[in-house]
Amino acid sequence: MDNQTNGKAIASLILGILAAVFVFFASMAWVGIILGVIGLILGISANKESHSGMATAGIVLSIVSIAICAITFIACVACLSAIGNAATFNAF
Amino acid sequence: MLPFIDVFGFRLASYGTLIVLGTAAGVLIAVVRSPVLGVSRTDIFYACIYALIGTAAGAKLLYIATALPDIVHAFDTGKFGIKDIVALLTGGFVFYGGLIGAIAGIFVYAKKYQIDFWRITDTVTPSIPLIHAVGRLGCFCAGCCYGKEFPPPLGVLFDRSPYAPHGITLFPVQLFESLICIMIFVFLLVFARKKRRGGVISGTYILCYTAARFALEYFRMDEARGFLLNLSVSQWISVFLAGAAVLLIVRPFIGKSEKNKKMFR
Repeated sequence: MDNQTNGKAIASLILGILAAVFVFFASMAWVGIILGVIGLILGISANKESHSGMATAGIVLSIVSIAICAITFIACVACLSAIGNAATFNAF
Repeated sequence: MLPFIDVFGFRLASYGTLIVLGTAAGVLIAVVRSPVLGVSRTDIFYACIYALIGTAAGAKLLYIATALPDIVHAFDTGKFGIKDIVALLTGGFVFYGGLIGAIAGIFVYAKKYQIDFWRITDTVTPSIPLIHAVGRLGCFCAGCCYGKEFPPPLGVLFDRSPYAPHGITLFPVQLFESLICIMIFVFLLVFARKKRRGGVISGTYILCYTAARFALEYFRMDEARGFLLNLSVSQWISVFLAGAAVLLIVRPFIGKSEKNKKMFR
């Protein structure tokens, strides 16, 4: 494994761990989602170049963190007031 | 209607929980279906991740675009705070933006790793209506994306919803859309069992869904999504996407160039 790939795998794992930390801060869960997304992209890139356990661990951690952050964040949003009419914030 | 569910003492939003569960099921089905078009399971899994990132970005961008007048108004009146930014980032998603974002996500992955775009898209496509169907159940639980006023027994009261108007019974358009999505999902699963020409499965899905969505828009009441010439933004997008889907399906029959034949082989 070359240095660049190794760096991506390490970054993916670290970002996955950081994203997991934000699971416990409901109002800051969006930071966890952003970190998890970056961790995922780096992990996939590292794994495509050269398969590594560290990158896989980063991918798994990032996915789990994003899922939990998404659940807690959307729960949190229901408690927050939206601008003016709440109906404008649910156009799914 | 059940906006929150309690699991082992934790209060979870049923909307978010259902979306996560639906997504997990959709990705699993795409990975299981990967041998049909000869794409590796890993590539389908990674492409799904790119698609999901694109979905979140696209759905949010289109939502912000449709809610722009309200945002500008809030800025003008000085009522726009940090809480509103957080609510804006999470509170609204537009499905069509997500669909276009997912296609863009898969395109980026296919381009980056030199894999055939249509093989990935056609493998992933049947999962989209499944994720959408479960997501709409989440909408029903949260009381968002509600229908027009409708008498009982079909009309439903959304008195615990932070979004829907209280005290009147509304048409459960979310459940109908969910049911239609399940039907499209089952149809696509059967249709996609055989290897089809590139883009046909995706085009078929888009055609089925846009037709259903165009009709369902007449039953929705959350008019804040925006209207143009008596049609909602979603109806306009439906029209354009349906046209693109028809072109996608019939293109090999009208274009006889070598490039076309190669592209759709």
